[in-house]
Amino acid sequence: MEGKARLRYPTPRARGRLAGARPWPEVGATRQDEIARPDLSLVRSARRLAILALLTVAVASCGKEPTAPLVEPPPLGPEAALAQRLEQGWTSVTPGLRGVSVAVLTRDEKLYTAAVGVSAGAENSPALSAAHRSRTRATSPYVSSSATPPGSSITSTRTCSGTTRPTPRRRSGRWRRSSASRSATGPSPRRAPPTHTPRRLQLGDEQDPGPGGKRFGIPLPSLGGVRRRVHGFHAHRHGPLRSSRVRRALPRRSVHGGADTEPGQGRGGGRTTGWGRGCGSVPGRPTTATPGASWATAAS
Amino acid sequence: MGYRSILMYVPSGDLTIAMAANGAHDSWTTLTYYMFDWIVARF
Repeated sequence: MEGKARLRYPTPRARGRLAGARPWPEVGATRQDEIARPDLSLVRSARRLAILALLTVAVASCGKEPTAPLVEPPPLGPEAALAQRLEQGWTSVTPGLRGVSVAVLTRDEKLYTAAVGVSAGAENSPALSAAHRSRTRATSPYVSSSATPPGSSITSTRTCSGTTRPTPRRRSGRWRRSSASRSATGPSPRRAPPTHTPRRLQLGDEQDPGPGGKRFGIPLPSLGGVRRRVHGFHAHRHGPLRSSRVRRALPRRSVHGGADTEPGQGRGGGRTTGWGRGCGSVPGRPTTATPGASWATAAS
Repeated sequence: MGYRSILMYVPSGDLTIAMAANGAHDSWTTLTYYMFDWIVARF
């Protein structure tokens, strides 16, 4: 039995125990084992500490957001949202625009307004000045641009006064002063002769039958052309039913433009030059009306 | 004319929108659409 036991090789652990039990130290391997054991334990403990620290950090960071908490802005009211939207559009869509304002009226009768930029007009803005207003008043009442034949100015129709009715405003001294001051610098475009001579529409004329003018072969004079081109505030003065007050304000003269007017009286009645003698009696000019010129039908 | 203005009405929403600009800009129409779409969706 003992021989068998002695013949057996000890395991490394048993060898270590045997080595520690020896009364004398073995010089070679035993020294290395004693030196290596503390190193291993230190490394192991260091690893455990590192893992523990990582776990601690992980557990501590769990449940917390890595960045700052997101604070949601308070919801904007309708008017503030409208102003914000308008400002965004003003800066991104229309950069350089002076200013914009917007107003919204909802179904529940609530009014929301917003404005950005400059709320006043430009310094020399013609649209917002008194000059623009007077210019609009001076050009708006009579003839629209579409009804005026090319080459003739607005006043060419108006000055042929048998065809249209001047208003008291036009015949005032203020108007004449402005015309005189204008003609001092040169020939006024308002006094330019017409390119063609209009005449009064008579029964049987076919130049403007109108919407229902010529039926069953019977030519009927129509006021369609007149009604088409007269708009706005002065429209009633161009209709067939003028008030007696307006009729009294007009000068007594024939509708052909003053051929029977005494010289020096009336509007352009006594002129020897130009077209002031009357629309139908200008020497050297054709007296036939231009077919299709609807503005000549104003003599109603 | 130096200014722009527009008045819009949305019958389905009974909504009235008025816009005015103190000046002229090429993209005025685009701004109108920009505001119109948002107002109809918001109000």
